[in-house]
Amino acid sequence: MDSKISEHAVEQLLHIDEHGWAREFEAIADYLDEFGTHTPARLREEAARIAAQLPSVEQKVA
Amino acid sequence: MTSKLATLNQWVQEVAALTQPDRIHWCDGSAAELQVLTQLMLDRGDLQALNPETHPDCYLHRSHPSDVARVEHLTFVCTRHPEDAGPNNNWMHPTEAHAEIDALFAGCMKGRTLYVIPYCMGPIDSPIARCGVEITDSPYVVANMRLMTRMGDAALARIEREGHFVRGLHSIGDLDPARRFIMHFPEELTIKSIGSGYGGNALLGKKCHALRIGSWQARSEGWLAEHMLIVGIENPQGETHYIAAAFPSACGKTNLAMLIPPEGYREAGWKVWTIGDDICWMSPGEDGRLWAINPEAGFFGVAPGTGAKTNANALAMLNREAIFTNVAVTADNQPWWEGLDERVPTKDWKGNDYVPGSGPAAHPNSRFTVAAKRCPSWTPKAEDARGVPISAIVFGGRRESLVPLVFEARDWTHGVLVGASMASETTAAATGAVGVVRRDSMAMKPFCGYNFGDYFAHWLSFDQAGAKLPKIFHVNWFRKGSDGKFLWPGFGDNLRVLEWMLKRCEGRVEAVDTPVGQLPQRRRLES
Repeated sequence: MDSKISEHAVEQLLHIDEHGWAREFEAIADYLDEFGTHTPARLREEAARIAAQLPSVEQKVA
Repeated sequence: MTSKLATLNQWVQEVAALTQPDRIHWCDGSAAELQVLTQLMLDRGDLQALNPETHPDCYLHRSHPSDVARVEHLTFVCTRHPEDAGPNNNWMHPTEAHAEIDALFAGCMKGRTLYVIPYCMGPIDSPIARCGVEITDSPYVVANMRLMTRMGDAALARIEREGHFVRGLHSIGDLDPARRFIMHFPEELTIKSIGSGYGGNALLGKKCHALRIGSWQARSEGWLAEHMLIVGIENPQGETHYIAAAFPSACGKTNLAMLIPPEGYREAGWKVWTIGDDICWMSPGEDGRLWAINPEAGFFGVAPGTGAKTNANALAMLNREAIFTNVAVTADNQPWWEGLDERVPTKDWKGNDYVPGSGPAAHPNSRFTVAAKRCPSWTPKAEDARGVPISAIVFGGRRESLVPLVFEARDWTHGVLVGASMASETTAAATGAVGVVRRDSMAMKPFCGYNFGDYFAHWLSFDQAGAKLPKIFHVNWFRKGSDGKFLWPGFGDNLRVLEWMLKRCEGRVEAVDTPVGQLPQRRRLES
């Protein structure tokens, strides 16, 4: 059980794909909207604050 | 027998008038009572004794083949206004719901015994604990409630002293899925369940009371009722930190609660203590910290996958005084399930001869019920009336990509967002399509008894002056590399991640700041 974990595995385990996270935060904002006015503004603002630090999501081609 | 509490007597009489049982039995929780009920179930074929040499006082129950899991589409939260139940619940108006389900209860206990089960969720003298009374016509439910809750005389005494209790009415009805409902009336602190004898639908103290009604009580009374395990991590200096963790199903919650430290940690003096594997009630203490109890007294765990490598502690508690539901049996009448060992069972979960290659022998949702005290890593702290102070809250999902092994939320608000955004990913392996992400806020999607939006607001409300709230983390044990294999070994090695969290709680280690949260320095995880 006391296995060695390679440097390469740790690098992948801790990698942050900022473009992927930008899309994730778009989905999170949509999810919070499902609860309408019951969702606290503070939570939406927190999601927006983080999204603002991530790259903008590319426009989807219609 | 009756109670000193008039409202309780009156409710039992009303239920008896509706359901028309032959007899009424008030459960005292004694060993003698259990013995009589066990014999009754053996005689009726509800239970089958397992090998008395290898598994003394262990029994097998086979449920109806159509009654093997919770039924979310038949589970309702019945508030006066649909908005209070929210889009996360099925809703029905209370008047309509009572009428519909009471029609099914009418006369349903003819020829049966009505059992009155007073129970306490949490240590009997704990101010965080709450009581209820379940009425049922199933002796199997009584036997399970005796393992899963503090049931009987002591609970009744507390109920009579407090004068109030959550009401739970259950009948197996005729087990017809077309006449099955699990209904919650949070405004009346009432549960009504009919047509199922399965765990979460029938043991009303668990999901129905401790989570759906409990979450409603918690919001109105200023505490938290959560779908979380509670585990204590003792370091070589003898200091124990307690962690509460929420995961969706099939993420190894019970295994984490009973984690066995890797050899190197054991030799250095690390110990892991189990308080609970499923539900956590937390309340702010006078010192500003969150104090937690496990409202349950037993484990109702999924059997398949429980083996010497995945969870040796669970295995060690399952050879005495346990009830097994829908597992397979071996030729010498021992319980068996997939993932236990290489033996081949002779009977499947339905009691038919098992043909190898014909599908699983144990039902994938087969269960064990056992008293928590039988677990080798159980700690007497689980009985502490004050509860245990929580140092860290952990949220986790099953994500093959994107989400790192661990990150820390910047503050409470960010942590609540992390919990609210929790999700698991299912891969359509056959088509190779990208996984579908299913959100499951705080792992409470099937269990929050009110509107998720209001629930998020309730979580945020704990962030007050003077509060010493736990740090919040997110973990993902399931990230895969470009070769499609899991990157993290999991199981005992998860302790490395918990150790990092606790060092963060003590301010003894730096973190790397990123937009999504704070990450460990790489060298902290390499070894």
